[in-house]
Amino acid sequence: MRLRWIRGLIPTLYLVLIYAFILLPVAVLVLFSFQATALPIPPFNGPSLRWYEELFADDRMISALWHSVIVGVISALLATLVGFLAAYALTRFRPRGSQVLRGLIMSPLGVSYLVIGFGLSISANQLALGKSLWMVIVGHVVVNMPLAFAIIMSQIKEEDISYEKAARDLGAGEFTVIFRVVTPILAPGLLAAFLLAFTLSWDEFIISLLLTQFDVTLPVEIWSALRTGLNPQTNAAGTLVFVISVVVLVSAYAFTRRRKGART
Amino acid sequence: MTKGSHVSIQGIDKFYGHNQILDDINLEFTAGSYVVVLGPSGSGKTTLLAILGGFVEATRGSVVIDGTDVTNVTPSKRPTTTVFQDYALFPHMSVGQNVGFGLAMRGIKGDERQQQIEEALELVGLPHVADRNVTTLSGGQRQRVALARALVVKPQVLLLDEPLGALDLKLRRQMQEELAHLQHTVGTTFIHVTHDQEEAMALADSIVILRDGRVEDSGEPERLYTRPATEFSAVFMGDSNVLPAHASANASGGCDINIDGLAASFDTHVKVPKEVLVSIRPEYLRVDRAGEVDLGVWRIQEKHFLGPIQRLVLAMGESQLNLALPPTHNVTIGEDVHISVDKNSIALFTREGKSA
Repeated sequence: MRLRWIRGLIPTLYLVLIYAFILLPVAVLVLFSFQATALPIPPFNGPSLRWYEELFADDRMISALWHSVIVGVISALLATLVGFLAAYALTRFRPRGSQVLRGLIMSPLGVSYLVIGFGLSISANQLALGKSLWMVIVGHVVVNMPLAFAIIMSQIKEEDISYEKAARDLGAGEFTVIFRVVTPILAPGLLAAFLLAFTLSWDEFIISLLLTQFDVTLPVEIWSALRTGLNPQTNAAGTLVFVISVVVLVSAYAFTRRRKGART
Repeated sequence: MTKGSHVSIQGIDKFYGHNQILDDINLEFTAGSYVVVLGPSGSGKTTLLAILGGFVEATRGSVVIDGTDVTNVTPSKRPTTTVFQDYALFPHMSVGQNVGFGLAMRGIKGDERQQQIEEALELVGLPHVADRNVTTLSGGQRQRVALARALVVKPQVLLLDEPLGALDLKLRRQMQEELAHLQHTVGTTFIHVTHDQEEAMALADSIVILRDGRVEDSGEPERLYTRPATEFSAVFMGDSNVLPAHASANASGGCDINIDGLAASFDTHVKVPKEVLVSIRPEYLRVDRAGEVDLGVWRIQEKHFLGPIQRLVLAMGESQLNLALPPTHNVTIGEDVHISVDKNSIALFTREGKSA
């Protein structure tokens, strides 16, 4: 009897440990962002919104936050657009060597961000473009387009081709087919791809660090704040990054689910 | 609304790789007729329809509509529209937007578009649904919306790809009548693909039977049913008794047929004595001696009541016959009956199933 009880306990304990391992650092970060005193270390005094007030009063942090939003939105839009066109072309027109093309499109996923960021930084120098948020946008399109492509590709259904046939049959040209039939039907998948590309850009640090100088993104700003020492305001910034990522990811998940549900 | 067009299919071949789907299809469809292309799955009927609609390119041959060669014309520019098997109603548009799509593509706007949408929906018996979402419609209603959407642009030829395949039997029979009526009203040439021979006979002015990418037989339903060109079309177009027989030329230029010792004379000419197949529809057999060909005495083995008819299974020696009788005719199992048949109810084929 007792043995069985212990046997039942082991998997539960294992699960608790795994989740603690994954979530505890985040939980600690979030908890000490509500610290009332000056250091984000135990004991916890609070809760207090003091550091959030200071965060929103910090011009550097706020401008970094806006930079992140702009980089995220623009790079996610571009990644989604390019990924969609590639996915549509490869599924519907099946050009010669489409397997190879697909592999090439997915290949940035296998290259480290460090290499991509470093490469772009050298290229930007060579082309006299310099470091800027625009270069970060380019970098984020490079790394996020393959993911957008894969998500959209998975959402393009073979049987949906009959909608496109029907539209052409009724007199629609190719642009009309794409804008009035393909895009609206794929909207949940496109939105999911956009949201995922946004969160990845929002969180991304290495490429942003290598390609920015004066105007930086939020993760880069947090990193430089960390170098000057521990401060609950940095925790608050980290919490903000985390919360926005979670919200966006959950919506992305909900949109892909909706697309699947609509078909059954 | 519109006058239908003459459709001419000239020497169409279709290969997918080395796989031949269609083999030298030559057909002429009269303007304003209801044509049904009938065939089992894999016969190439859907491919033929896709070639007519412009979705699939033929390897060889051409499609001519009212004298204009449309072989290289894209679907959007062809005078044809299609009712797809799965209807392909745009899920993100209302019923009205679906029906109005083709009109919008033709630059018809505002009140005029609205009016034509209403007219088309009325034509298919679905007035007042223009604002509904297509996902809220039943299968039969979607079918009608698909018809309205294809007809509203006044095509010269309407292509229907197994349009009733997804409906249950009762609804299918009802839609058949409506389709026939609709075709009569609009006068467009309808080309309808199906594997259901009852549907084909109920609808068609003219039936084409496809088998393995070839035209097996084509013509009026009545001729196809009573005088099928091949054994395949005899069996595909409904029940048939196919019996082996021996044929030899006779003095009057016709032939004598010997079915299991029973002799009959035919006008069909045979050069040399040969083994043939004799095909007789179950409902053409008579339970008396009044027919021109006496088939002898058979024993009733089985009797099945099917509502409008009763089906009997008759036996003589090794041979079996299926027979359909009005249910008012009183027979009992085990009874011996005399069977006869009129000559023109018998079709003769070679052993390969070709016309003898």
